[in-house]
Amino acid sequence: MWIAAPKGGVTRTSEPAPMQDNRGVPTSVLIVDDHPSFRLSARRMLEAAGYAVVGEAEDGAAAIAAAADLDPDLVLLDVQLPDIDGFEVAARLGAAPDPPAIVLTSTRESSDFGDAVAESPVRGFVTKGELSGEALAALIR
Amino acid sequence: MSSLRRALIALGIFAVLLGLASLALILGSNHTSPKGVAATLILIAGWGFVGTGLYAWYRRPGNRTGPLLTAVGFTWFFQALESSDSPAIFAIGAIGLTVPFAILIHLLVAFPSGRLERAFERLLVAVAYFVTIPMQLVWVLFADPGREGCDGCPSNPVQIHGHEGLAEAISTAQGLIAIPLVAASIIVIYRRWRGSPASERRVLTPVLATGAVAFGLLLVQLVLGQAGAGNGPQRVTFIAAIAAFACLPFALLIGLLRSRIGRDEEVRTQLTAENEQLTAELRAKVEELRASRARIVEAGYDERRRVERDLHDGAQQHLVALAMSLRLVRGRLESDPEAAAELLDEAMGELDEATRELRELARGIHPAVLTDRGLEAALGGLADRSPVPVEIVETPDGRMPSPVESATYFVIAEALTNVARYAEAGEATVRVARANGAVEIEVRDDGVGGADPAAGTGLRGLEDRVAALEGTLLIVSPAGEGTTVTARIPCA
Repeated sequence: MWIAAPKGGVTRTSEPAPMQDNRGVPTSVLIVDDHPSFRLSARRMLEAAGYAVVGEAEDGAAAIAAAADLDPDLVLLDVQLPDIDGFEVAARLGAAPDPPAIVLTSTRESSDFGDAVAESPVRGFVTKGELSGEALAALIR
Repeated sequence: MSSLRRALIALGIFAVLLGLASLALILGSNHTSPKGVAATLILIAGWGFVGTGLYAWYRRPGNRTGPLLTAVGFTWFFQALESSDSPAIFAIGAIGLTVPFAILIHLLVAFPSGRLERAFERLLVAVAYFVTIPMQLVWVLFADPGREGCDGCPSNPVQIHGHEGLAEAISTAQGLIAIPLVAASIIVIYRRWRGSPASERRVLTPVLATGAVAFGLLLVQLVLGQAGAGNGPQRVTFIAAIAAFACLPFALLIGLLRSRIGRDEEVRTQLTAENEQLTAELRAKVEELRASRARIVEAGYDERRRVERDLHDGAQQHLVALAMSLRLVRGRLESDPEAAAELLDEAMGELDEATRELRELARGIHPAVLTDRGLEAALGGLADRSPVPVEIVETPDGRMPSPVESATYFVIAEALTNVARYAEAGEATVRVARANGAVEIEVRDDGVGGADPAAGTGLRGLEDRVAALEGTLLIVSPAGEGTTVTARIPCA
């Protein structure tokens, strides 16, 4: 079920060619989630909204490797991952020089995680059910 | 009242009368002295033996100790006849005088069973009776018992005169036989005591010790007699021996009393030990219950976590994907109807998946078919879904109480899950039967065996689930011989 990952569980889906959407925000995206069905739906939705999905990662370790490798503008990061959780991944990505913008996502509500979202070095949080290009753009603008 | 009891009471009354008659004879005698000592020894011993004997006879009719004690008591009164001034009665006393000593040997050698177990013991007793009855009788025919050292004793009316030498020889022979006889009796008594376990010694020691002392004194008297010692020392040792014998019934009573006290102590000790054991067992049971309760609570939490995870990883993901697909469809309905239709097909696929996963989850929480259509239908469903062929061999008719039915279903479901995961089995059979107020469950497979109930939490959880219904779960899984899971749950 897991995607084939030639480099640390990351699938490079296109050359990292940052694009600008009509609002002029950075739009190369790395999707990090352990559910393939979500990754597929999110990719379609973001690509339809003009984002360039440059890679996918299925767990925290793969996400950190992929971020270093692909240098995306935005990481869409699921909170519940099979190895380390999304907050830990966000902390590590945020500690790097010139870190990407990070948006956390989950099937749960932000309030289900207490203060963790607010204390995390991320741009924001969006539930999976409300994920859309517009919602992401609003957070990272 | 039983005939035995009536006979024993009659014997008791007879002994009382006999004692009173003896007392009259002693007090009226003009040759017995000291009368007080003679009367005391004869009455105490005579009544003592008869009383103890009748009691023992009544309590243990099958044991000869009672009759033997009684016989000693009655024959003891022969001694009183020797106080009579009537020559005939005096002669009868002389004939019967030694009989109680033979019975005493019989009694002590056979004590406490009342049986003569060994040939040597039987020989000893036979010789004792021979010396004291036929030999004494013959002796009386030729002797004059009152001849020496007894002023005023009546002469022997049955004496065949002119054979005093023969009488002397018989008397010597009696003495010479009696010495080893009494000595051997002492040895038998000592060996009996030494060979008995500590618990029996409580009863045996007073009787055997008194008997041994009495026989010892008798032995001294016999030796003194053979050595030609004076009448005085012989008489003193004889009276001492008689006095020791007179104590025997009371020694027996002391022994019985000690045995009862000992038994009481044993019972108390045993009760205390049992009480301690019960307390320990209770404590262990409470501890076991506490642990099991904690595991059940923990299993409840685990189950909720599992349900949450299943919902999150399963149905929820499909519903999220469905929602995103629908959102995409909305954006493309007009611009790209073909792509929108494709996305709608995918959305329906996600919806089907979500529905299927929700159904699976609900079944894991509690299978609706079990509630609605009973165990047989639910097991049929389990068998259909199992990747390993499952044969439902037997199921009970009718419905069982819901908790029992539910536990039965989950025992079988877990066992079949394990068969599918680990057993590498070709097939499995399931049997459920009601018998003896319980439901008996068996899941058997022909796989690799070697299952370890301690290793998996699934089986442990089942054990608790079954134990909560007072049931038992057993897993037999020898390597290479398949696995059999059996459970028994009370079900009235």
